[in-house]
Amino acid sequence: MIAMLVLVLWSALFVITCYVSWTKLVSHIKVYLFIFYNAIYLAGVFLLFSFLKA
Amino acid sequence: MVSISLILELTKRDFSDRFAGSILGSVWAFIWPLVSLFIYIVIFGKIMGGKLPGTSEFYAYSVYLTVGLLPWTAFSNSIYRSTSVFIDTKNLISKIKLSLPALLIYIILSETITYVISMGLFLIFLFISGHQFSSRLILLPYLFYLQQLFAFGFGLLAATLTVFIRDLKEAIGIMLQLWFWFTPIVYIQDILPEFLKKVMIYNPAHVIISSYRSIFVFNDSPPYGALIILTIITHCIILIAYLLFRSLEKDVRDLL
Repeated sequence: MIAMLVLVLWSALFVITCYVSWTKLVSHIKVYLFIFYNAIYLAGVFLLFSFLKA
Repeated sequence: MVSISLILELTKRDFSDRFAGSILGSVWAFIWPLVSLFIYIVIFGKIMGGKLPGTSEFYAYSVYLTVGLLPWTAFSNSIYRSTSVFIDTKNLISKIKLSLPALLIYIILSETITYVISMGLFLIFLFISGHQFSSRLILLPYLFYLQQLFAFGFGLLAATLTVFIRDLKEAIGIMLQLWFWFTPIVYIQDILPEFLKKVMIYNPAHVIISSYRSIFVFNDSPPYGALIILTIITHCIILIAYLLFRSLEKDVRDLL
């Protein structure tokens, strides 16, 4: 249950951050930023899950 | 720029074109995975009597095989079809000004639909056969997301280079065949020689498939450390592929 809640919050944070930076920026920087955010998000999911299940 | 509606339309068309003109239409999208599952479960598991060492479960080898083959099929099809996406859609590219890397998304989405149908049917089978599900099943979409991101990065790299070197598509096809047999999908890792077992940790497909098996077959934690490293490598590949594409974009459009 806690794992689910943390995942939902982490995903919501990712979606909001991506949406804001994608709509505010116009150049190709937004693509690089999206790749960076995506890496942090996915690595974070695996890291969070490893801690929560440990 | 490419719009979301165009990507969805291309995905829809790509999916429906496969069964265009047939009487059963999109019902075939369910028949194909059902036949595949029948082969994996009944032929390999029951008739050929495939057994997984260390487990007493009757369908253990069938589950082992299916959780390896379903992701691999989506992964390899995504890479192989992405390789020629710019050449295959050159008529569209010449008519509409659109973002070329976004074209790969419709292939990834189309393969995702096929995977979701197959995995859905497989989960129903597991549920009916009384399989004990792990709470780690929640990681399933993330594993699939990671593998498809890897396929996207690799596919973008291959698609860009294939415009200049057309032979690359065939080379990628052969590479995928070798990659399939180099990854323990139909056999177990224990039969490999020691040096190959050590090398296996550098095989991204093995990291992904062993994670699926940890969840479905062994009811264990997937290798989180390896998954985090693979996440970083995957995004580095996407970044390199995008930088290469940006530097060659003008030439790619001219050649198409």
